[in-house]
Amino acid sequence: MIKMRLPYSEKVLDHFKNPRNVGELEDPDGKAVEGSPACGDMVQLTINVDEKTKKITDIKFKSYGCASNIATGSIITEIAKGRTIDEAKKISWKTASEELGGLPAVKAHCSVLAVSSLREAIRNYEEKHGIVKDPEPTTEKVVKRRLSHVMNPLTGLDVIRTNLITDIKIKNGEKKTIEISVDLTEDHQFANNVKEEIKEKLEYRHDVEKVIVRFKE
Amino acid sequence: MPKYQIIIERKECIQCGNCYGLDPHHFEPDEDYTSVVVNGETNSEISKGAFDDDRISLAKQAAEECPVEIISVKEL
Repeated sequence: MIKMRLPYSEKVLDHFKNPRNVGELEDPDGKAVEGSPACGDMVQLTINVDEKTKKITDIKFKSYGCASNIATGSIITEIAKGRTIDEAKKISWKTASEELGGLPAVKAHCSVLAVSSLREAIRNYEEKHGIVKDPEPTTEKVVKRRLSHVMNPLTGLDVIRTNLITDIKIKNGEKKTIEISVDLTEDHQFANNVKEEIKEKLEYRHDVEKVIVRFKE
Repeated sequence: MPKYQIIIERKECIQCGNCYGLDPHHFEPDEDYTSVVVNGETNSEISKGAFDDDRISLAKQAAEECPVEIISVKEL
């Protein structure tokens, strides 16, 4: 019998088989659910942050992805725990890859996804606490960019590319109201999930007052 | 006066989204999630654009982190 040699290091396999910090924090300070438009993998990451020191006190992740995605999620949560949010933002997929003893190049996007989920969970914390540096106005382009990381559960691709979002309305005022129309009925099994993820991506932005998600009749 | 130029060799892009996730001021996805320079000149092989803002360090970080090393940032 010919055995194929796996292109993964021992450390990748260890973190894949025994991932650290798996799960979900209850009522977390920062949360992100990120999907990869490239492959449909998803990662959820939750963090708790000490308000005074800005250190990450606890961190958990869940992955719906491959071995490198799980291993990267595991290693970045280990590296990030105990660091300040500014230090944790600098953790790149290269840091993770080096710590893991290298990842196959073809798997780079899977580890980028795990790192993006950490950066987005930190951004979510910063948005909730009004500490975003250099805030960008929320335009239709920004809304589409943020929603391109929400997966359409029917296809495994994102909600923008698969036209699950049928309309985006932005009402300008002192703060903006954003109305998102979704091509699902309200009683669809995934309707609530999609609604929550859309809200999570938009409602904490500095210039957004309210996010309304509308379903089709 | 533009201070620096960003060039992406798009042909080799793996659509991982690291650059536009990290630095949306300079990078954005096209309809296939291949990276392009914001308001740049883009064809199927290359995208390029010049900037005069003070965010060059973020663009450099995106170039440094690109898994397939197709981004270059040149000071003008």
